[in-house]
Amino acid sequence: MVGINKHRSWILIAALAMVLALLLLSTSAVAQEEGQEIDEYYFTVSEEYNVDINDVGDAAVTDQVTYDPTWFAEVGYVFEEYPNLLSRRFRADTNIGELENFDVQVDAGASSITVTFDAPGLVYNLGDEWVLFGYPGYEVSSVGDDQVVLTGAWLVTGEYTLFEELGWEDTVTIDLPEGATGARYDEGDGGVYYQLAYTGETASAGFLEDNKTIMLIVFGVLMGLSLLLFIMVVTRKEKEPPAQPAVAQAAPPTVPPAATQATPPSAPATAAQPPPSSAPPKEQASPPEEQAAAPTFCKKCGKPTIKEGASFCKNCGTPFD
Amino acid sequence: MSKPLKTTLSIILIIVFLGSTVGFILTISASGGDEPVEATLQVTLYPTEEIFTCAYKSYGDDQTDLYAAKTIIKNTGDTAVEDFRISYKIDGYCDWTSTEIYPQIVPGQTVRDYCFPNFDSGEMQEISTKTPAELTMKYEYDGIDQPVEDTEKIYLLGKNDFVFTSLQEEDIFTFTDATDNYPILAAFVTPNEELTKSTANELAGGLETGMNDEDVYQAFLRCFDYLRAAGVKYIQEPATYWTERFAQYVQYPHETISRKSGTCLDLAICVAALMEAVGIKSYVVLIPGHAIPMIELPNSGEWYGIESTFIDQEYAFSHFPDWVTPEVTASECVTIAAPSINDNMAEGTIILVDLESEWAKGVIPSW
Repeated sequence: MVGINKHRSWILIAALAMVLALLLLSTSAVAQEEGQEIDEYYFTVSEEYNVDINDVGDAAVTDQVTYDPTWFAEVGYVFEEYPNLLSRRFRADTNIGELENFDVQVDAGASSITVTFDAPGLVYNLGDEWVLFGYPGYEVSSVGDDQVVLTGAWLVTGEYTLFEELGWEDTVTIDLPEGATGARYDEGDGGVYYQLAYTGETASAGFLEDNKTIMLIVFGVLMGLSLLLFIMVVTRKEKEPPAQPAVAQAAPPTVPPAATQATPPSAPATAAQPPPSSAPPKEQASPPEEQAAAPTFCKKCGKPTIKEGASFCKNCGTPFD
Repeated sequence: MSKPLKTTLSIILIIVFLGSTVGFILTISASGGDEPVEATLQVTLYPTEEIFTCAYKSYGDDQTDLYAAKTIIKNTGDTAVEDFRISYKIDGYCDWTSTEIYPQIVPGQTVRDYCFPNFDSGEMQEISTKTPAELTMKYEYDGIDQPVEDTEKIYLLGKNDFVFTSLQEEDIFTFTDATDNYPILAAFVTPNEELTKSTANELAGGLETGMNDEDVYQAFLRCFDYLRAAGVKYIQEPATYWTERFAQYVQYPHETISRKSGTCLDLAICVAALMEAVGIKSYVVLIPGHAIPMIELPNSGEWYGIESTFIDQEYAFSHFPDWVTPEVTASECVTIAAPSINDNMAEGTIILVDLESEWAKGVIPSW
């Protein structure tokens, strides 16, 4: 039994090895066949499509298409012989105002053509973000604030392949404007989105209309107030200025004004009166009416006169001058 | 109050009163009547050279390459324009389109806007020859009190007119260039039109046209025989002078069936429409000076074309006696078509109008 089992296991191993070998052989054969098919029917073209976007959504495009040297050596002369071939669609009426400065350079040595043009307004401003449409079916290679790189591969026929179906490997490099943030690729609509805030002025109907309500209130209040004050000023009667109490002016020069102002109104007028020995200020002596009202004193005993116009001191009897 | 002070105060108050009164009046009258601050827009309207009436529905689809006009808007001022709104109308054929809104156009920015009109079906059916119309564009934005309008003349082709190419003559190098507008031909193929549908159902009755290769091929031959039995004849292309271009008057399938005649292109379109009406994938094959209908078998994927002008048995035998037997059978016509297709395919002078693909892209049959 053991021998039989051993024998069986060897058979199994040999069978498995054969199956694996057959699988490997068949896989490589298929791969080879497919490779031959692709090589036989499709030349591969590589495209470097660079879109340089400025801060107002204009794009400067550089499109470099590099062909298989064999293919280009055989038919590439057509591009040079018919210079309109690559530019005609860009020059068409439908492109008026959309494309500028279109140029084609053919480099036979490098088997390549380079197309350059400017596309004003290629990127749309949605208010809160900008979007560049036109890249459905691509895969994202990298996304950063300053650059988005997309890749794609498909079969193409048209002017660029001289209407022959060729394999096309495309790398799209989109250089975003300085200050762009939040770049992303939307597979749904094939658009590349980014944010770029506008910090300049915004057109409007003017300050007055923008602030209409508040300006109406301000001007209305000003009108009313000025009118009211004007009426008050015009109708106000002229009055004599109230006489300043002598005591207030009798304040000594050494007393600071704050002390004078701090004097309570109820304080007796005499409180600020200078001592009799103090020399009266010059200005105090000047008004004649105030001088006449001032009390007089006896030269001998110093007592004040009791009665105005008295000819002698009632206290000591000394005659007055 | 002294007199000089009183006078000074009075003068100041009068000035304040007058100033505030002027300010009040200006504020009231500033209801959008004044010009926007520093906003300067350059708005230019570019109408397309011609509208393909046969594909009028496609113009309403913003995913197609067809549009009636475009406007280039450039902000040449110093300030951003907010809430820019634009719409279009074509007098008698399309009312104002839905408003396209651009929230902000910053200084130096360019905006490209396209007019995708939804044409009035009834009016479009009446257009038999090239017809002028007025296209009006209007726009407005924050800061202006009323919309600005601009009007340009456009031309609508007759509903049967097909202009083969819109490229300039000096830009036409290849057969493909000369037939550059070929996708629009898909709009003439109308499988859902009543007469076309009923005819297709009648001729393909009893066949599994959706999945059986043999039945599909039989339906193709039956279609040929049906049209011959109906008395359909081949006619030469009439000129379409009014288009002023390399163009052709193209019949819709129901017109070919009811008129019992058609050009090679009319017959190819008619056969393709009848086949599509019963679910058979079809093509209109264009080769220099000729058109051939072709089907694709659902399982094998094989293509079969048929020389549809030989539906007219008398014409075929009288003009090509060396090619055909007096019976000029449908099978013979399939055999005759094959080398025409293959030779032109080898030469690259062929266009396969993939109808289903073009419909999917938005070239919608109009009737």
